[in-house]
Amino acid sequence: MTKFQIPAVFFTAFIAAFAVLCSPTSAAQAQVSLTVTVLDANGKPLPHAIVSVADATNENSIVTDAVMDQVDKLFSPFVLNVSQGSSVSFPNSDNIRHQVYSFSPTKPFELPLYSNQQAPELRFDEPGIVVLGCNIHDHMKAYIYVSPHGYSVQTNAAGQAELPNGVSQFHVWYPGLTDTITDELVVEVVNAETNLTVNLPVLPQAQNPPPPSALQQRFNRRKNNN
Amino acid sequence: MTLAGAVLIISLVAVWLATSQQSERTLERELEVSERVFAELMDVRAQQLQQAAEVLTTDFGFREAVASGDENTIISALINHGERIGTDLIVLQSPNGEEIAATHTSQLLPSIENLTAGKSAAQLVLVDDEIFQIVTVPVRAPDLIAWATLGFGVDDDFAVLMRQLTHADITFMNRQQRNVFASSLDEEILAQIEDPAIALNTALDNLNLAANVSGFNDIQYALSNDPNLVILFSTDEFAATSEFVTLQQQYLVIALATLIFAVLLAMITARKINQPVASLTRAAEQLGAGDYNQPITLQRNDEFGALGAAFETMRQGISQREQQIMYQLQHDLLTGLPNRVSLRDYLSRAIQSKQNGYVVLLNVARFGEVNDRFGQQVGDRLLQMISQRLRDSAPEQWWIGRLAGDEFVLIGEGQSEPQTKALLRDVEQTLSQPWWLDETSYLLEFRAGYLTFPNIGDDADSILRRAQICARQAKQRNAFAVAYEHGMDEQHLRRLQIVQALPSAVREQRLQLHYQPKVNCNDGRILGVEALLRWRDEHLGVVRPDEFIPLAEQTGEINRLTRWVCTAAFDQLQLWHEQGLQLALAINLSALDLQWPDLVKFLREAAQKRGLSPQSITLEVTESAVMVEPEQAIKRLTQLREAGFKIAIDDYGTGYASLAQLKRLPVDELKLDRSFIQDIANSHADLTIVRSTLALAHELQLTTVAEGIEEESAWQILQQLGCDTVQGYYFSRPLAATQFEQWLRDYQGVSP
Repeated sequence: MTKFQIPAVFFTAFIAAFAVLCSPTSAAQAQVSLTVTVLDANGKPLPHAIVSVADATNENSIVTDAVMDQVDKLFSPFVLNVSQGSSVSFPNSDNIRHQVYSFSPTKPFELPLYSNQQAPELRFDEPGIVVLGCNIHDHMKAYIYVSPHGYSVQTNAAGQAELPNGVSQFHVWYPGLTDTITDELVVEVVNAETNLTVNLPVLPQAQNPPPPSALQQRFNRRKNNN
Repeated sequence: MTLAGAVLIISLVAVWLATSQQSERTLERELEVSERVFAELMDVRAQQLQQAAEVLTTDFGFREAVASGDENTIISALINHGERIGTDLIVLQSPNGEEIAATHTSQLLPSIENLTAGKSAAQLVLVDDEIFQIVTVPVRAPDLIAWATLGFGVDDDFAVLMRQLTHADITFMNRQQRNVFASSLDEEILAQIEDPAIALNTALDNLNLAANVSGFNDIQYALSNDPNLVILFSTDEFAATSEFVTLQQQYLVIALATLIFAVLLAMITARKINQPVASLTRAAEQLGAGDYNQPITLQRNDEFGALGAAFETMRQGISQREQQIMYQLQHDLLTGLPNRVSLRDYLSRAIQSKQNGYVVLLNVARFGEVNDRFGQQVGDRLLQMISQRLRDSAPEQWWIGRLAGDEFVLIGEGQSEPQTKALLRDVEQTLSQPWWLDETSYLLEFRAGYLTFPNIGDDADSILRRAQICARQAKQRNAFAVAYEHGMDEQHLRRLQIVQALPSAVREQRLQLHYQPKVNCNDGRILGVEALLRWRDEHLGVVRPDEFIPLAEQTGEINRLTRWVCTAAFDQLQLWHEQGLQLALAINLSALDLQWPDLVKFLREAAQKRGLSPQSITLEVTESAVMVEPEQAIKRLTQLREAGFKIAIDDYGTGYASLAQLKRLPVDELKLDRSFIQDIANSHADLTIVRSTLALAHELQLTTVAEGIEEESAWQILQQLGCDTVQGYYFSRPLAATQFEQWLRDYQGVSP
């Protein structure tokens, strides 16, 4: 079981400077919304990436009904975007028990083994990234993005996200972007473009349930025989 | 060379065997080591598994899941955690052994008591045809809530891993059922090992696998009691022994190289040493075999060359000495002429060559006397001179040799009779020259005999003997040379045989006395008999007295002969006298008998012993016998006559007795030689001689006897001439005593 050390500091300087060079200073506020397309290292659209704007606000920024479900021994969703102070419920849709935990400094916790009869709730007051695992299913993994920004959206299946008008700068995050889990890419918007494409040096990530192991097959067989 | 080869082969075999044995031992040892290493590895793995299992079962989540009692959750956790340490078998049992969750039925496992009794040891079990190394660890919360048995598959991959570590192939199998559960061997090999039709050992042999078989029990981890579950440690014999094979091959190459080197060395040695030694050996063998003609040459500057030179010197020395010896063997050292040995060789070769030729033998007459009289030195120098003259006078076609001390032989191959006679003339002429030696003249006489070959003689000895006979004949004939005549040597031989046979004939009384009647010439009455010797020899036939008497005289046998004759005749006379036959007896004496001093004494005693009157005994002596030593003869005859014996002169008329001598002889009777009587009827001269002789005898008052009367006419003439006594075949030939008695009876019956 690998344990992560997540630094508490945002590191933006270098990437920001890069982005600034690429984009000239824009007019202050624009009314036209900005569509950001995030592509992975292979140039493919990258879903589940979080695109944030620091000085904008989400109208419904406080989400109270956020759900991190467990279905077929997988967390769902893989990346959950919540604003600071949100509560997240952890239902169990499987007929087996799970034991969810996090060692992230943002919110370390451990939910004792529980069945689908229960749905414990947790409140996330600190911004940051919470990495989730299950103590008895090592392949289960999920991220709760507790946004430090005023506005955060997730890219859709096409890797696109809409940003409010007049954004001069935005942040992009994706698991594994750098070695520090909380690092984000800061992009300067120079010419009030309506479309911006951001290339992230990452490959799309997901939970990888192991193939049915021999052990599992044996158990299943034994179980079916009984 | 052979030795080196043998040593090499022996060492090769030894190395081969040693390496083969060593490789086998090494194989066994390697397998044993593999087995130990395997056991060690299993032990280490067991500890690792134990630790992993303990880490797993002490995991809080795992314990929580087990404690939850929810089967799915438990299974899910078991799978998850089991995957973490890669376990292949998980059986979770309650503390009292009930199965909570399991990948394999817990009934296939040993009981929980057995499992937990093994303390920390990991053990091998066979479950569903798979081998597992299992550990059973407690799950505590904190009290024991379950036993977790974790199994780790012992599969082909594991076997391969073990092979890498143990250097032996490892196969887990059921020996009886011949099924393999896990193995590091290839499938083809396994197919044969699993083939139940072939015995396992045979299969291993076929595969050239060296193998050790251990039961699961043997390595102390097994929980199964099935003795057929075994672990096969095997290794490829070829691969394992390849180093030894390489060693053997290398050794073989080295051996061959050594052998070749040895052969080369031997060849060089042969050139350097063996060849000269061999040629010297050959040379020595040739010398040993008597061949001194092959020069020994060894063109070398080393010791062999020196040895060869020494051999050559030796060869020349031996050759010279041999020639010297041969010369001495073949030559007479005094005269330098070929000697008897070479003479016979030469003659034999000449005869074999079928060539005609002549052999001349030259004898120096009375050479012994010369030696005696003048000394050996003079004799030798004379012989040298003789040989020199022969060499000078004989043509070169004549081969000259010295046969004996005083005999020289000349052989003329291809020479004719005229040539031989010419040679004899020349030789005689040369030899008749005066012999001057140190201002002294010596008189030498020579006799020669010669004959042709191969007609007359076909072997060297007989030719030379005949030549000697001829030379002797020449002496008798007073001639220089006599050629061989047929019969010459037969007579000689017969004489020799007679000489040889005579002593035994006398000794063994094989001689006989025959008696011829002596008849009164006037009235024909029988007066007496003359005893005559008869000798019939089984080999020689009839031997006449005139043949053997002279020989007996020569050999000295005559005295014994005379004594025998006298004894026998006196015995017979005594017998006749006892029978009333008053006969007179005449006995012949030899000239030599007269020289016997005891003759008179012997005769007198012999007569006395038998009561015989000497008057009835006439002793006949030939005229010539008396003439040899007349004085001695007269003296002896006088003594005999004085003793009362009558004396007759036998063969009168053939000798040279003069009337004067006759007058002096003490004689009673004259016997006229038969040569005058036989032809008296026809020969006037004989008649005249006889008449005058008879007249003379009567004048001297001698009685007369005529022998050789063969016809009545002769008797009548002798009657008319007044002869006293006659004897001859007309009356009777000499007869043996009994025959004579018969004859006498017949004769007296006819004319009383």
